[in-house]
Amino acid sequence: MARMKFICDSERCIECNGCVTACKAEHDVPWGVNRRRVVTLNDGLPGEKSISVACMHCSDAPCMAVCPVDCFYRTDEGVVLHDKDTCIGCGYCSYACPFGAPQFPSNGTFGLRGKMDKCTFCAGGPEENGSQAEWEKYGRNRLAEGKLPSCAEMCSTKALLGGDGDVVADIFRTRVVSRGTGSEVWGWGTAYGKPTEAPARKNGSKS
Amino acid sequence: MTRWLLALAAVALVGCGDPGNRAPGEKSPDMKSYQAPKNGFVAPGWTSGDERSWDEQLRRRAANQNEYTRVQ
Repeated sequence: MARMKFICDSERCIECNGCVTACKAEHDVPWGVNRRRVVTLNDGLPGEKSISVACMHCSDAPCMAVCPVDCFYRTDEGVVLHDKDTCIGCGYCSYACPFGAPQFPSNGTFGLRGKMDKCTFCAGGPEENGSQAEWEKYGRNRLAEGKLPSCAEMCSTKALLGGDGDVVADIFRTRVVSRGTGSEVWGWGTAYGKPTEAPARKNGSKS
Repeated sequence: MTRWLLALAAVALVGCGDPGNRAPGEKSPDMKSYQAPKNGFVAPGWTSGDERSWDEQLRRRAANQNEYTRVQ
């Protein structure tokens, strides 16, 4: 069973915002809501880096933990989704998320802050796959169409990789070995957990 | 008379409810991802309802992001 994950290779991201555009176009995301965005660190300085950020579909998702109405659920593929019929738009998930993924439309049911909207890994919602209700609430369900998220498939430099964690990690590993640098994956440890520390070595022992 | 009033109140209260909402903790039964929608956008090369073929399709598609192997 695949475990869906995103990797953004900051050595490759050129801040073109193609992923943002692809996402907005694919799901007809309203103005003011950005399921994905590109963040640039040290903008204008030598060595600046850009990364594409959206919901990382965390293994131990803090949004799920804090939701007072328990509207989140996880699919068999590890995609964190939520039910907009249950969401009350309280915003707790927004405070809990380390990636700023939860978005709130300004014209929703609850006045200035509507029901939460976020990246679905192009997996839709709890409604029937490909139904009109699913489309209107969550956008297109590409996974059910046998495709990967639009942002990753559209990325021109293939900085953003999406899909089965084993496969995307293999691709990234191949790159790092080939170029010999840039093995840091932003957000990976936060979302999917850091590897457990090796037991402390005895003094004088070799690694 | 009281019964009628109670029944009327019950009907009126039902009218105020929101049928779309679910009780907290109650999970909505999401369809499996390998159940393809009936539209013209489904990618060819796999069978709807067959988890293994869907898995293989996504794996192939993900591997296609690797240009190191794609150019060979």
